[in-house]
Amino acid sequence: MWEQIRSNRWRSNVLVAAMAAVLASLGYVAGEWALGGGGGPVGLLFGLAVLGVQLAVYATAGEAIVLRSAGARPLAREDSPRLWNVVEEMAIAAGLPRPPRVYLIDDPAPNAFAVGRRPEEAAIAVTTGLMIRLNRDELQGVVGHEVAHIGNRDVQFMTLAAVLLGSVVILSDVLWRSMRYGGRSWRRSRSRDGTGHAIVAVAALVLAVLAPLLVRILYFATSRRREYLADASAAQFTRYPEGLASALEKIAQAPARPVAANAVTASMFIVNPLQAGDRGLFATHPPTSERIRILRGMAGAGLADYEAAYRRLRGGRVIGPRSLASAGALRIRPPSEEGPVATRAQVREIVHRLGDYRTIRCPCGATVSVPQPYEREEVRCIRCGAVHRVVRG
Amino acid sequence: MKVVCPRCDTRLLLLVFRDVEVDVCERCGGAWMDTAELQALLSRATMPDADPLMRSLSATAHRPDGAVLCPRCDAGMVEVCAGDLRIDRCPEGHGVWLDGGELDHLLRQPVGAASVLAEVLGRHGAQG
Repeated sequence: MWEQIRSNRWRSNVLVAAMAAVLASLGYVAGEWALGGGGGPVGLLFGLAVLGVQLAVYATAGEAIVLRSAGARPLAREDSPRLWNVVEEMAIAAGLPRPPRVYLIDDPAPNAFAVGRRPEEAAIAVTTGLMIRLNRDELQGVVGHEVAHIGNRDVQFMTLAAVLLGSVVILSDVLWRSMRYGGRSWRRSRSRDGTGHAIVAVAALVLAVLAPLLVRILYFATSRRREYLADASAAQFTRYPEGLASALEKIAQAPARPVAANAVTASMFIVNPLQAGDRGLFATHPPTSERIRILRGMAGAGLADYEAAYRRLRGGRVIGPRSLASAGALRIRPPSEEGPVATRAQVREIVHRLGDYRTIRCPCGATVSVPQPYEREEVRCIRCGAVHRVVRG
Repeated sequence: MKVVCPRCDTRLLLLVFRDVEVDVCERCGGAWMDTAELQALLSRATMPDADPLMRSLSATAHRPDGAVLCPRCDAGMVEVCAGDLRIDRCPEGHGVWLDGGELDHLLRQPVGAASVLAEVLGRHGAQG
């Protein structure tokens, strides 16, 4: 998707510039308030320093931070060869320079997201719930969607936006506090050089309220179209739109929201776990029902088929002309017979290995998993009371 | 995901028996069940409609500001009553927590899901 890569680059630059402006003015106003007259430039520098720190963090550890905050752990090929196989298939279909690393999040809610600043060092995280609930075709659809985000540089923009969003929230917090607990009172500021300070005060108020809001709108409004594009690419890579459609259905119907979701990571998941209503300015994702309808309305598996279904169901265009011109027609392949890539028991085994449990099989038929490190050398089977030695790992 | 006892703050042991998973605290005897596990357990019970554990999933909370935090997401769990059973349920739907006393009480009347749970935990018949 040439247009998408270009627009993501452009957006990233615009976002950084807009953030610099917002942070500098926020900092200036905060400085005027907290340090009294003339404190503005100090605050301005502070604001830009915050941005610098955030950018440095993003450049060195962007994806590591996101993965850690989501509780993701690296999954080796031998842990789940079939999941790795699906990821590699999709990475080849998308023409990525190398397959993304695979991470597992121990969470019963089915979901997935991708992170990474460059396609060469990207990672895909899936939840245990996703591995258990989806059959191979569905999993392939989800992985295809995530791989498309990596190829289009969406994840780069998202990771950047997530880091920057955090910084504005921190600063407007500082500003609020300084206005409520510190700074100079209204009366003093009016008595000396009244108008100037009144303007600063009003600006402070406006900024404190609007800054986080503006940033969010910027961040969210740009992220909806790319979900459609990633869906279109997933259909193209898998040649089976129904896979992703029924995966989205299962994900949307799951009861519990992912444990790992927070304000920063929520918009990265394939179905936004924190999005209550389906529409509005703050919706990072298009309504899932609409995404499913478009996928199911496709006559073939090519980009042109997605565009046609999109135009019929929503109106308007979504895929850029250059991408459409370079994409060939694709027929929908027959479904595969394969079920989930792992059974519940297998996923449990993997999680226990990753989560440092020692598993003991008791003759009574129970298995007892002991968290490591364990303070004693022996453990009683909860079920029958038999005593087992715990081998220290 | 390290599941920690919401009462004692120690990590829970995980007992698996015939594909039912229960996280048990060695210290206080309390048990945590993920929603998926609870559903697996209830699917084996004979009369799910009258089952106190089943009703606990839909019962309204009588104490919506529980002091017990969900071991999965740290949300304050709501206390619900089903029959004479009191359990803590995660408001986000992650699962339920039965403390030691409640668990003993439940297993003394083994009907439906409780009888399956009694078998998983190896408590047959009445225990003191």
